[in-house]
Amino acid sequence: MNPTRPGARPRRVLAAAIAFTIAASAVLLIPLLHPAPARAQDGTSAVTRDVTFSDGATGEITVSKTEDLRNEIVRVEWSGFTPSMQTGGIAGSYGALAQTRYPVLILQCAHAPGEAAQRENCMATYRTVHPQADLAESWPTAPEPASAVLPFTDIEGTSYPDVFGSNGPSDWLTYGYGERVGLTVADGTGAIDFPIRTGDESPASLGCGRSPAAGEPASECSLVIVPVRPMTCDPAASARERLKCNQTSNSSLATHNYTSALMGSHWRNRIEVPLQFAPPDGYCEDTGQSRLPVMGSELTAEALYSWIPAMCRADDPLEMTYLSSGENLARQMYTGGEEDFVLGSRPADGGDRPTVHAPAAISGFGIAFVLDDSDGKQVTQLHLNARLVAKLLTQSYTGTFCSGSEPWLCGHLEGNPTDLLADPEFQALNPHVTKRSGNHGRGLDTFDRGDPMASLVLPSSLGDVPDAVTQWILADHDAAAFLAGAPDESGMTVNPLFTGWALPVDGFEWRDNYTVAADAADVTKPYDAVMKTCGGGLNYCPYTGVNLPEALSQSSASIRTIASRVLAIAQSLQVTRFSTTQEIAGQPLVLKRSDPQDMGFRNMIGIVDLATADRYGLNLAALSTGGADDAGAPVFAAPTTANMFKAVQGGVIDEDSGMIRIDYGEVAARGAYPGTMLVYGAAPTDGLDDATAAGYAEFLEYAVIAGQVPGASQGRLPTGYLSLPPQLAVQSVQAAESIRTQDGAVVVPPPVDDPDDLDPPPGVDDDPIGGSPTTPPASVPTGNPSGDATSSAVPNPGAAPSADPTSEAPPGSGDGAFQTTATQAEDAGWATWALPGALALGAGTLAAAMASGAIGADPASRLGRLVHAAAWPVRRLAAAGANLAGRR
Amino acid sequence: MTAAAPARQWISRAIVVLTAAALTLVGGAAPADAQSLPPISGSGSTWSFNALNTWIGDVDSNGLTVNFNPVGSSRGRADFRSGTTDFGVTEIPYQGGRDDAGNQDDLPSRGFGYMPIVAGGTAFMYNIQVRGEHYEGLRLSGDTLAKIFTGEITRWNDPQITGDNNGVEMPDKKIIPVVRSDGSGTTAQFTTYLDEQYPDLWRPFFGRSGLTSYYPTASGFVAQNGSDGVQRYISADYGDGAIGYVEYSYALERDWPVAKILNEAGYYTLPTQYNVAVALTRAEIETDDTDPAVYLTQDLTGVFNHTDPRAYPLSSYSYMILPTDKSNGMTDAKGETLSRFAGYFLCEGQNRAGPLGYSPLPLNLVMAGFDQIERIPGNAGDELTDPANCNNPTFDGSDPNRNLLAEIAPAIPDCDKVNEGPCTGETDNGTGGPGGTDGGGDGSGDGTGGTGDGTGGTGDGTGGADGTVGPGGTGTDGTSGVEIDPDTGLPIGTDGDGDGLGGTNLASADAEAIPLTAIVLAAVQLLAILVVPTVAARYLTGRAARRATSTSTGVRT
Repeated sequence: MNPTRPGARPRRVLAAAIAFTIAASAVLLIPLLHPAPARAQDGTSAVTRDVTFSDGATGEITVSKTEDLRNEIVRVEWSGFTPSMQTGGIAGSYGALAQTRYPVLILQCAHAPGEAAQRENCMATYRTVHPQADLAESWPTAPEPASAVLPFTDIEGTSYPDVFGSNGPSDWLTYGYGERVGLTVADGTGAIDFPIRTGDESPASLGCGRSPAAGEPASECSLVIVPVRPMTCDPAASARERLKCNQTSNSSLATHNYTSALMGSHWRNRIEVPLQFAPPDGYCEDTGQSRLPVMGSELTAEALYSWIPAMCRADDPLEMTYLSSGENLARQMYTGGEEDFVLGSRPADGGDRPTVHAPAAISGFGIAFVLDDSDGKQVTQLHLNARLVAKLLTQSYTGTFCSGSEPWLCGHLEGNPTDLLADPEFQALNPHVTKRSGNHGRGLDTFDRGDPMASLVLPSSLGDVPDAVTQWILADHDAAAFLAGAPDESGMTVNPLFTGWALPVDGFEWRDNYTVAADAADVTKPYDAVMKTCGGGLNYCPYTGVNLPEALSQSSASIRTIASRVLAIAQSLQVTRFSTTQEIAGQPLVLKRSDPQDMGFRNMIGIVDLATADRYGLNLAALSTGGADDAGAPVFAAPTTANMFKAVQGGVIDEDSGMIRIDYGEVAARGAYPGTMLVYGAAPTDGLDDATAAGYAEFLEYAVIAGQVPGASQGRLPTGYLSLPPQLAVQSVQAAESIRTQDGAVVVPPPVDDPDDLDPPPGVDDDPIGGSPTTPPASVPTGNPSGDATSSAVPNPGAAPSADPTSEAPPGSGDGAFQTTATQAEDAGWATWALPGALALGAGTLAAAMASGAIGADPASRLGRLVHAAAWPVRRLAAAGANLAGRR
Repeated sequence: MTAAAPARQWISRAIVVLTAAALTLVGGAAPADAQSLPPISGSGSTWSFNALNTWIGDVDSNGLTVNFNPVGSSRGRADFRSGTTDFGVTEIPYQGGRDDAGNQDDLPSRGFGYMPIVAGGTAFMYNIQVRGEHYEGLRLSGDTLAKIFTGEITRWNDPQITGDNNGVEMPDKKIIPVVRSDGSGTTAQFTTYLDEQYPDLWRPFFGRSGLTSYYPTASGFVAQNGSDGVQRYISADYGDGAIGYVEYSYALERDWPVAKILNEAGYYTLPTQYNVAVALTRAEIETDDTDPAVYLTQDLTGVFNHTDPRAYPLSSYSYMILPTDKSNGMTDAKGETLSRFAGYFLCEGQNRAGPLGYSPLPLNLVMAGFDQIERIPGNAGDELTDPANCNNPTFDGSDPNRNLLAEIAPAIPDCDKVNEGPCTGETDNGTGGPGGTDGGGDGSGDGTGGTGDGTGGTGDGTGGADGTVGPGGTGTDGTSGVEIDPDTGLPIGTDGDGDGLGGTNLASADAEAIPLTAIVLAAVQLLAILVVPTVAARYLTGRAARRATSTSTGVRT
């Protein structure tokens, strides 16, 4: 019990030296490896430009990131632009894109070093100009044609007179066309997310940031923004020319919609923003050897796809493969001995194999939404409490089926609102969301009935996300009472079929099958089942005889798919109930997935994982913590790393597994983000062969050290995760050792008794994950190589590696912390955090070393001032490091 | 004090690891020398999407970028034909003319071939609630299945179903057949089976002969969009009485029972990777390469009627449609990307099939795939197509004619035999995971193979490994002493001690732990850095210790 017993002091010195050495070596090494971007001084490479148009009007445009670019999303925002409008419509109103005037085209163009972009080097699909109608177009040959198509020229000089289909450069086929169409709302502002293509995605057509051949300089590219505006007529032109110009300006849609951006009058108003690219990611040869599999939690997918290519390139290469599945299936396979390493947020049962759990990543679930308000402007912030989510999960909204043509459908859940937006509780929490009268946004059919906002898009596999969501609901007093049958303030009650729903659950459920059969007494006869009419063919009644709650239901076995292939493209999984063409053609009615929702009318909401949502730039709701502020108002927490860290610190250590479980009472008390989930790797400590055991140990060591440094580059931790607190990284290293040596350990506890003692990891801040602060509407071109709007809009579901095959919504950290001014952003890149990160790691190791008994086995001293005192110099240094990093 | 030694051990390990990790960054910073290859894109099958998606993630680390849209087989064929994709993925070949939804499905004018990519069984998820519990262990013959999906059998207590279940009568409930509303390769696979095996039932119902991608609906049927929709409907509360067809992984993810289907040998089997692999050893491939419309298309008659007791009758595989000329934007460079991708998924990639609910392709189909790789313009050629270098779990390079996976497939317990059983107290060799390695070692099993312990019946890994010395005497291949992994049939590394990981010997024996070089480097680095830090540490911790001593004295009171 004597803390000063002989021998303790030398070990203490050794431990301190070790900690120092680790810190020092990391500090010395890491910054040398990846020099920070050239302009890291101001913390961001955002560019803001004042614009003066040819007619003298002025505006402003901002591009969120222009340097160190990868295949990622940057945000373009503007103000002072001409509001988009439908022909004959009012400013800021729009419908079908082709009918909409004054859009904003965003293109990527290659150009000679230091020179302006030329139209023939820009990745634009619609290349028609109208020289006769355009005074700003000086056509080289006479007579000038009424219209002409500008060819595209690729980096090898090959000219493509036609870029449609397979006539264009081959990489346009692979990724679809690269331009984006943005729209401007009535106040002259607008914004759009633009997926940057590096030369890896467009090797033939642009080649941005890549050398066309070894030894040659990399190709230069710019982002070009072309605002389509009313054409101005040169006062010096002849009267006849001005008349022609004015006529064109006033009448022709084709010279003012998104197909007209390359016309001289519009092109001269362009803004060019030079882009600089990160060097290409490395990769390794396929050796054909077997790869070490890890299976389970989709929450880890984004991180794994960053780590795996980095690990295979190490001096001691480790080839891994990730099998995505629900956590339950993975654990089942593990228990059955068919998988040796699974990822999840709850303990895995190894059967007769002793199993340790090692912290691998911290992320969580989110509720993402794609929602346009009554003005067509995208809603970027929502507050959702547990009761509202419970209402959505229990099929307690009715949808908008009840109508004049089918009044017999009105009996379902009488008194309950049609959907989330119509719920007074939602409206009170979200007064900024203005709802259209009648059906809001796009529904299942041409009458927009159905209503996607009546239900959540849900993961259908069994696992830890449903468990976490329902744990949060269960812990909320109001939500639990609602589920037990208590009405809310406005009298809404739970769908009786869900009364007594025993939470938490491993999988979401669908219970309601409300249907009004065609032969029901209320239904106007005769009912025509083929044409779906009631009362002699006068009344179209497509929902008679249909299971209405089922028609609203949306689910996907993969939770990542909900972000990448449903919400990111605003394409509901609901099935359209009406297809005129099929019936007219005499073909059988084929029920198909609805088309993507139109810009300005989108309305979808679903459960997603934070990292995938961030990658696709989805907006995420702030969720009720369960706590209240001093005035008694409910507290909501956005998904930020700071709020996630609070949840981790408030967690409870499970003695049997060494895992930290979220304590929702503490979430409420601390104002933490309730969707926070810790993901652990489970592996056996007996029975693995040496090579396998060593492989999993190395994987963990990579994942929890190098893999926890936040950053966009290969091998780093993408946005959407909280880096592991140092003590949890130490726990993982220790667990890795148990796996490597197959020592039979059954638990490796974290080196703290209380998660409250965890030190903050690098990168903890208040920037919301996902989305963007302001998001007016934006659109994609309707045309695409396959001639089908769906294809163009569909991003690759992608297994999501850094050079993701994502076609239209590439990966990208999303740069959620987009700032219009060049302030010192906190997410300036992982390099900023290298120093404090390394130091924190050193400090953590030191603390852990002491805690684990290398120094002073006395528990009192272990958590007492000894550690504090001994760690003091490290902390001092860490603080100094943070300051230093901040100044860089 | 006993804690000190291990603690020190891991601290030193931690330091080595940290240092090595830092050094790894240095070493890893240099990209591979190889010229990067252009990205490729494809579209098609949702059925095989889980497998494709995993492979796409795998090859990304090899600099191959593959872009795939799971828009359905029909659309995949159309996209390839119109030249907007570099490859397509489909369960059925081009049908010629128009399909049942009026969409054109003619052969493309560009050169193309069919390559098998992944196998699997069409699974029948069902929901029969008996006193509030979901009934598990349902058995159906193909004839019963055909009658259910043509509306001939409409209630669960039908005597024919009772007969299938050896006298166990299901509740008197309406059967709700759940089919796909969209054009679907799964539908095509199922209707191929119906048309081939039960034409007298299928053709009057369909109105003509042949397969279809659009299941004809009838009164009492429910049509759902996508496998997700079928899965949701069947697993919903209101799905009581429903049965529908999905890819096996959809049932696994929901931990939901699927029907055992009667095979020609008189056993009711599940669509596990083993049972599918056994069945597919009888897949015939059209090898007349004069007609691209049929070259390499599948003839599954032998699969549907395979007499091995383990065979799952509704087994099939999906194809990649690949380009054989340079029209439609195909280039040699893109061809190389495609060929390397294919080389990966035909071999090592097939190890992913089992855990995802598919079945790996056997040798005959892999060899056919190799032939197709060599037709791709710009393909990387022989280095990809040597079976001896092919890390596919179903065969062994030294004896390519053995289907190891089929050999080690667990036996079906007698209680799954016609007129016996049914097996009780089990989710047995299926729903718990593709596998069921119980008793896999001793071939005939001990009769308890299917009666797992209720934890999902995935079997006991140790037991499986122990048993692997059994099947067929592995000494026959001359590698005596080599253990065979039960899951994959691959030899476990000779220095390994059993229990392979997903079935392969790890990359190399010297891949273990931290390499000596890293340790040496670490040591050198330590020396270099230690001078200052040690002095500082000695000073600082000395001071800290003095403080600690005084304060902990206080604590002791």
